[in-house]
Amino acid sequence: MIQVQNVTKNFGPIQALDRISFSVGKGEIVGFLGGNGAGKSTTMRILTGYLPASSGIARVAGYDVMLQSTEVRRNIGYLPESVPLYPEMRVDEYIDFRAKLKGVSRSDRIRRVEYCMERCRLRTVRRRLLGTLSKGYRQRVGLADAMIANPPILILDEPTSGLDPQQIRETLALLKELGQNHTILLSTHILSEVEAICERVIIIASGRIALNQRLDEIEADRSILLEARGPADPMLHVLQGIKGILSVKVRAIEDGVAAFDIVTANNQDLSETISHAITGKGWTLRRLEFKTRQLSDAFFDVMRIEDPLKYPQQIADAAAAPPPPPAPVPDPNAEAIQK
Amino acid sequence: MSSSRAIKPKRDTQLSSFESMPERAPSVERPDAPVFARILGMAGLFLFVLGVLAMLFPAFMTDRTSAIPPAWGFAGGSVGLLLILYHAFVEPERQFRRIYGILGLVLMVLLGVGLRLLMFRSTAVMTRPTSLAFTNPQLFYFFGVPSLFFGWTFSFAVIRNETEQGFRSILLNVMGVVGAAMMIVPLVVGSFTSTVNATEYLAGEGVVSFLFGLVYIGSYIGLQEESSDRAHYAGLAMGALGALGVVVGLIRSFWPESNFLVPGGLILIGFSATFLIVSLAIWADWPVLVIARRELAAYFYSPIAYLVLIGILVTGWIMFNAFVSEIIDSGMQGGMLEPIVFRYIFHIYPVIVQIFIVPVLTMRLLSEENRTGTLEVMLTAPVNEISVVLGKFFACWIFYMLTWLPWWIFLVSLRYVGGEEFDYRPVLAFTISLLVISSGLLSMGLFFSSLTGNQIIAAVLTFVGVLGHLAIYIIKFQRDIREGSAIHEMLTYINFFDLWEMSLRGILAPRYLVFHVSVAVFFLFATIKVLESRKWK
Repeated sequence: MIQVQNVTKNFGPIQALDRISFSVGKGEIVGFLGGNGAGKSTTMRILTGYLPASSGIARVAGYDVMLQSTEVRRNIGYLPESVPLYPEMRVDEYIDFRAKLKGVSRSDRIRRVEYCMERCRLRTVRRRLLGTLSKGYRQRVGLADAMIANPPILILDEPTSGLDPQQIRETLALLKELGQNHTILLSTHILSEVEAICERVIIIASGRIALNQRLDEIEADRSILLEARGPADPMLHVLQGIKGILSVKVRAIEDGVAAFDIVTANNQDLSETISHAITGKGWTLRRLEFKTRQLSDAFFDVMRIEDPLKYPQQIADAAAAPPPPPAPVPDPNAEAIQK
Repeated sequence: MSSSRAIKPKRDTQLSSFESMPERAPSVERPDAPVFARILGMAGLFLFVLGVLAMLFPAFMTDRTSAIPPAWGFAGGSVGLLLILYHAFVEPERQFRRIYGILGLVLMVLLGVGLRLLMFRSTAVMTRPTSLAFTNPQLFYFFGVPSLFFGWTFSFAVIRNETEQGFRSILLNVMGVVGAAMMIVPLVVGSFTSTVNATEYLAGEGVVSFLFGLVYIGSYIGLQEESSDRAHYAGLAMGALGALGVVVGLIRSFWPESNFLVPGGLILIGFSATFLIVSLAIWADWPVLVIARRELAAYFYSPIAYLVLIGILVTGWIMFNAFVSEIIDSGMQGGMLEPIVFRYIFHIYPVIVQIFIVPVLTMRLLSEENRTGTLEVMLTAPVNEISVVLGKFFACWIFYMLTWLPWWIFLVSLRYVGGEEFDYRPVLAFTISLLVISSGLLSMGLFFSSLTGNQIIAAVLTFVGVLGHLAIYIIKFQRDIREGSAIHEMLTYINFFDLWEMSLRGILAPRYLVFHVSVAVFFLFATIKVLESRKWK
């Protein structure tokens, strides 16, 4: 439903997006992660046709966002980050107005407006002025607006920011339900939300795609954490000798205790073999853990690599592997808003 | 030793133990009793009764003079009525709603429609006391017409607050039926009676009836629930009536050897076309119209509309006062030369008002959307830039023309209170020139508003633009620009005061309109391009 190929976006000298490519299939819920100013909102604005890409092609629902903008907009529901609303309108008036703009036919309109107000839990504030609503309620109005025309694709920029805990759950449940027959691309800063509803995650950092992986693939990546008292080098040697171990990385050596990260072939659990080998040599085992790689691990790994000022060493490590670390990028969102 | 958690990877979902809770209102609403409004309402009732008594006093007590002169009684009664109306608009209590609702019904049906029906009986009946005798038509004009107006306002106020479906629909349906009758009757009379009769009816009662019909049906549709079937079909029916009226009016006017066009045909066609346009604006869901409706409503949601309207009303009143005393003065010296409306409008005050009004009306239109970011929401809906710009422009244009309405109403009162006929055709020419001029000025304001996120900058730029017209007009009076020279001629084309002057003298040459129309087209095009420019700049 969404295809992005080599999209670049420059705001003057600032390169907000640098040749990003990804695609989202029909019925997928994809989480879009990244630090502040990484380029999430810019990507979404390009997908909605509000901003043009400097180069590259983006297609939504089979239509080119630049050339067939109207068709694209007919097929998406977009929730912008700050949810701008007309302060002088009332909630139901506004949603009805948006339904008319989006071409919801008159016979469906009453039903759709009621349905969206119910699902976004707006019925108790239907006669309030939009200008008097709190942040969370504004967010709900924005979400109701995004889904009013029942578009096949939803592009939601931080749909849960500002909501109360109960409402976050309601919204996530709603999105999960919508995800059964809608394509959803949502950005957020809360990793647990992504884990709760998304099937895939795209992490964008400094304008590049740093990670694009299914969530179950991320979680399938496991490693064994070993801490044992003894000399590090012989231990490393012993570990590398065990069959099935792909790589061993020394994490730290402190007070005669060495810590290792061990990656095994096919993610098999070799804890017992390792324990046997270590204790057999007379070293003392302090900790042995077969760890699942969490989304947060993946996220922070990416962030570490992508922050060249803080972790120069990591850059040297990653220098061989593409992509090369880019220069830090100031917040492109702020720039975009000014434009 | 190895952690058991690691063996069974736990997929943490916030939704695993989730159950939906019923929606709760974010805060308790405690409706205040409108104490202040009730006090005002009571004071209003007192004033109204006192005023009416003071007005009736001379009729019954011919031998004594009243402590309160009837003129003061009229003023007090009017203020009292306004206060009562205010109370009716804000009062949510059931008993009050019933009282006002029944009052509205009585005024609409018994007094309004009843007195009109009484006109079909030939002679007057009231004889005692003699000073209170009215013929049946007088009864209708003095009591029926105001009743129709106040019946509408009271019913409108009640329906707004009414929560019980039954009473609400009774009031609404009565309003709809009365309104439909007032729309259909002038159409039928105008279409099917002889030219003389039709003209006489249309130019007098027909106008009033059309106006009331428009107001009644407009509120009937507006007070229905959002997107309801009934409002939709009522709008369609109104459009059909309008189309019919236009067709009949055109046929009758341009039938060989017909002299129907002025003024009967114009009234018939004008009102029918208004019905058609209003109907279109009600039921059509084209993005242009949806946006225009929202923008027009936005004017009335903010204080701007009321400030502008009050300002215009006051200026109009001052001008009209001066105008009337001028007429009276000249009446003593043998009368005033036609077109007299020229003296009414062509003056420095209306010009100053224009210079301020145009920026005030246009400054907000796009700069506000730029600043708050609503433009992004608007343009990510399937709406193109042309619809946005034109929708805003139309809303602004309609509101601008609305601001001139009080001026025309003053003129109508001159005709009916003064009882003297005058040449009204310059007003038609002036209205057309206003439409053209304002399209140019307002689209210029819209353009400046699209350039910036700051309303003040937009307003100042527009202000300078309108001031430029005045400057051009003044430059024309320089000594070295001789009348008849090419420069003088050119300057005449490119300012709006000369067009005002000419149209008020009854001259309306299309070549003088061209400049303003092309200005409008240019600035609208430029505004569309400014909105699109985010895609290529």
